Formats: sequence, C-alpha cells, structure tokens
Amino acid sequence: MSMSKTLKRKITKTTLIYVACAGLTLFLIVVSIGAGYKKASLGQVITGLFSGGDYVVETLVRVNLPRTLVALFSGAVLAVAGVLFQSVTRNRLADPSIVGVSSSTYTAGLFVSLLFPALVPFSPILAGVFGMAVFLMIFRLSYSHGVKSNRILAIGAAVNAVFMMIIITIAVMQNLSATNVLLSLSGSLAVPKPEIVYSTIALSAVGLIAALFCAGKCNVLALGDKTAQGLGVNVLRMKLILAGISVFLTAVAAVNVGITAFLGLLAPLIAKKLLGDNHYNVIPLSALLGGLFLLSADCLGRAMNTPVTLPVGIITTVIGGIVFIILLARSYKNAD
Amino acid sequence: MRIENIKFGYDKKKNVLDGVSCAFRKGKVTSIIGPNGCGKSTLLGLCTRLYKPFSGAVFLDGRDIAEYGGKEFAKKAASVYQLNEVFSSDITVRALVSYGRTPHKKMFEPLNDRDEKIIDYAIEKTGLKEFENRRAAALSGGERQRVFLATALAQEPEILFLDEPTSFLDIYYQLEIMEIVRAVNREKGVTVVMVLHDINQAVKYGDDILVMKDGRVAASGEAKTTVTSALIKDVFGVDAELVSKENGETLFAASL
Repeated sequence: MSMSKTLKRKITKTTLIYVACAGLTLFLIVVSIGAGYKKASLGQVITGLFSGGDYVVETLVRVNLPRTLVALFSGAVLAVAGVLFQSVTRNRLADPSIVGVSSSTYTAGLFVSLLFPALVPFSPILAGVFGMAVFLMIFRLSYSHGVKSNRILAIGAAVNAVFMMIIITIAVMQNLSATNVLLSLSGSLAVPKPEIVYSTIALSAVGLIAALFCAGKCNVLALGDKTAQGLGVNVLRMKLILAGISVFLTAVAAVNVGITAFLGLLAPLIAKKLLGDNHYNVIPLSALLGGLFLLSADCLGRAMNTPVTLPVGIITTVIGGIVFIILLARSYKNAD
Repeated sequence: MRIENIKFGYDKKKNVLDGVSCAFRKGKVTSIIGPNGCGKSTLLGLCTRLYKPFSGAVFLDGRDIAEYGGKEFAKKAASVYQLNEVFSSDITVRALVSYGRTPHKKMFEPLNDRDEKIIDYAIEKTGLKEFENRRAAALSGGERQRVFLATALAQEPEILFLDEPTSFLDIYYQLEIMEIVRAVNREKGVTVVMVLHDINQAVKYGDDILVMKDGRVAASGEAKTTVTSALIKDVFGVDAELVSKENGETLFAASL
C-alpha cells in the first residue's frame, strides 16, 4: 500500500519536472526569438507567432529561430555527452571538454572549414571521427587491466592543452583577429546557415536516440565493471560504444558552438539531483536541462548590451567553472 | 566446470597461472585457497570471463566458455567480487537485485511476475527483506555484500563464483554470507566456487578444496581429507596444529 503510494508520488514528481522543463523551454524559445539586436516584447512575439503578419516578428523568427534551435540541440547534446562520459569513467566530474575531446573535435572542424570548405556540412562527422581517434589514444594510454578513470582525466587534460595550442597556432597563422579566435573558442552561436541547422538537428537526434538505447547498460555499468561483466555486459565493448556516442555528440556541438565547457557536468548533476540516478531519466532530463542552459546562456549573452554579443561559452564556462570547483572541493572533503 | 591446462599472465613476461587443470563438481561447494599472489583470484577471473587465457580453455557443460554469448553465459554463471561500490546514490536494494534478471531480459523488456518472485526469493534468502526499499549506497559493507549476492542469485545461475566475498567484513558478516551460500547450494543445487582467505572456513563450508601455490595446483580433493598440517606448512609456510573442538569439529591453529 505504502509502496504504491510512494511510487505514485514518484510518478507525479517525474511528470511535474518534465512538464516544467518542457514549459520553461517553450518560454525560452519565445524569449530567444524576441531577444537581440531588434527587440520585440514577449506578447508581440506570441501574437506574431500565432496570427502572423507582424513584419518585425517574422524577421526576428528568420534571424533568431535557427540560432535558438542550434542552441537547444547543442546544449542537449553536450549534456548527454557528459552523462555517457561519466558512465564510462564512473566519475561524476568527468566531461568530454575536460579531456580534450571538445578541443580535438573543434580543431578538426577548424581544419575542415579552412582546407575543405565544401565539406562543412559533414564536419560534425569528420570531427567526430577525429575526436574518436584522439579519445581511443587517451583510452589506450589509460588502460591497464580495466580503464583507470583518474588516468583518463590526467592524460586527457594534457591532450586538451595540446589541442588548445594547436587551435591558437592555426588562428595566428590564419591571421584571425584575437577577438575572433576568443569568440569562437569560447563557443558562439552567431547566425548559423540553414544546412548547419538541419545537420545539427538530424545528427543530434540520431545521437540522442542512440544514447537513450544505452540507458539500461549505463545503469548496469554503475554496479561496477566486474559485476556488469558478470551480468552479461561486454564491459569493454560497451564503454567504447558509449565513449563513441559521447565523442560524436561532442563533435556535433563543438563544430557549431565551439568549446562550451562544463555543460556536460552541470546538466547531469542537476538531473540526478532532481530525479535520481536511473539513466532512463538522467539521459532525457539532462538533454532538456542542457538545452535550457545553453539557450538561457545565449539569451543572457544577447540581452547584455555589450558591443559584441557575449558568446554562450563564456557564460557557461564562468558558471560551470565555479560549480565544478565547488564540487571538486566537496568531493575531496568527502574522501577525507 | 572443467579447466584444462590454462596459462595466463597480466603481461607477456610472467605467467600468473602456469598450466592449471582442475574440475569443479556439479552441485558441490569448492573452496580455493592459497597464499597471496598464488593466482587464485586470477583463476576465478578466467572462469567468469574477466580474462582470456593465453592457452588452454575452461569448459562449462562441455562447451568452451569463450563460445558463449554474454547473456547466455550470465544465465548460467554469476559472480560476486570482494569490493562493491555502487555508482548511484539513490538506487534501492530491490532495484539493484532486479538487475540480476538482466541476462534473462531483452532490451526494454519489463519484469514479469516470475522475475518478481525470483527477486523476492533472492532478497529473502539473503535476509534483506527489511532493507529492500532502502538505498543500497547507505548500507554497511556486510549488508551491501549481501545485496550483490542477492543480485547474483537473481540470475538463477547453475554455478556461482565468489571472489573473496568476505575479505572486508567482520566475522559475523563473514559467517552469515557463508551460511547463505551453503543454504542456496543445498536448496537449489547451485554449484559454488569460492576463493577464501580463511583456511578453516574453506574447509568447513567447502565440499571440495583446491589449494594453489605459485600459479599451479598444489592439491585438490575433498576438503576434510585434503587439507593437512603438512600441506599447510608446504603451501603457506606456517605450522598448523589440528585442534578438535568439543562438538567434534576440527580447526587448524596456525603459528609461525
């Protein structure tokens, strides 16, 4: 009796949180369409969207909707990439942006856009392949009788530093202005071309669905490598698949919005606080929260009246960085 | 289960197991003992497919275990290891035990009544009924070890492997786990293979015993007759005196 009651309460809580997130997302989409260079009030956007014929709103939709969609999907994708990466390393503080996956995929994206501009719509895939190669190298170096998650983080940090230097070197050789480099490095949404919008949405959807199919396996992996193996999971193969999806998702976001650090940490963390550690909830909820975060960061950046729109990356990095430091400090305290 | 001339090492330079052959009798409890580094846990890891042998093979029901599919093998063989940490702060005991049904389920296939009954059995057998809705992460070491044992039981294995399941536990929890294992063996006829540290527990709870030294089998046979003072001296390098208790049980009292 009491069990079914708690179960019922859990279901209502779950529904409530999903509905709230979805509602907040819709609200933010409207805000995001209205935010920016030309401003429209919320009411104007809503009536404009439903009744049509409002020239300002139509322009705003044309300009801002692609950016909004790319932000939503990139955020979702980065958050889920974080979830999967944490499953692989069994470490809540692991994120593809920390171990050089983001910077390596971004480097690859940069190479594609400079050397083979025609291939730009495929750059998430090319960058994903490159990012996977880099990650496999990190994985191999961290492997001795099982994956050592601390080693992944340490080696990854070194790899990350190398790629950051490569990116800066490319920028210097290309005579890009310092502002441009900084802006793109820290993740900017600018105004994406339609083919970029379509490819981002399509690739994100593929990656997110793949991730959802792995939710059960993530749950079993949480019981430990040996126990998971005993339950019939091929642990090494599963970890490679999860890492592969994670890298691919990171690549999708990195080529569009640059390096957006810490989103993969924050969203899963809050998702787990809200609905627990079951990955059937963690993955979809993180996706929603990730989209929400990136979109609100972007709105915030556009709303601030700075000469250049503040890139999303700067905002997510500042907030995410602070939270990351607090978490690290707390986890060391717990370990003592 | 039959092991044929297994050679294995963690690197190519040194073989941890250097030609091990043995068999575990169906429906019996076999204890594996030996000094640190003798390869007993490694042998268990080869039986549960954690590692692949350099040469030789392990056979279950007459078939090389390397040929089994992951789930197919997990339906027949379950294992419990010495240190278990749950990377989930809110999973309940019952939810964790239900993962024992994973090998029997397709992806996204929900648990049915039969699964729930098996989970009930595993939870009751391991004395976890009062804990079943608690968070696994909040349990003590002994309780958590029972949860992982229950998970293994929920797999309905033919053969159960235990790798030093009691090494980090107080004596009370050690004996509790041993009693549960014995009860399950007697009730369900599950073959049990366990690596233990305590010679007396190994002899008391094992029908058979496998004694290892330096990556080879030093002795094997029925537990009560195989282990002698001379064998203990040879394998562990300690003097062990056989002491009789009033109830007729015998123990080895070891000294340097």
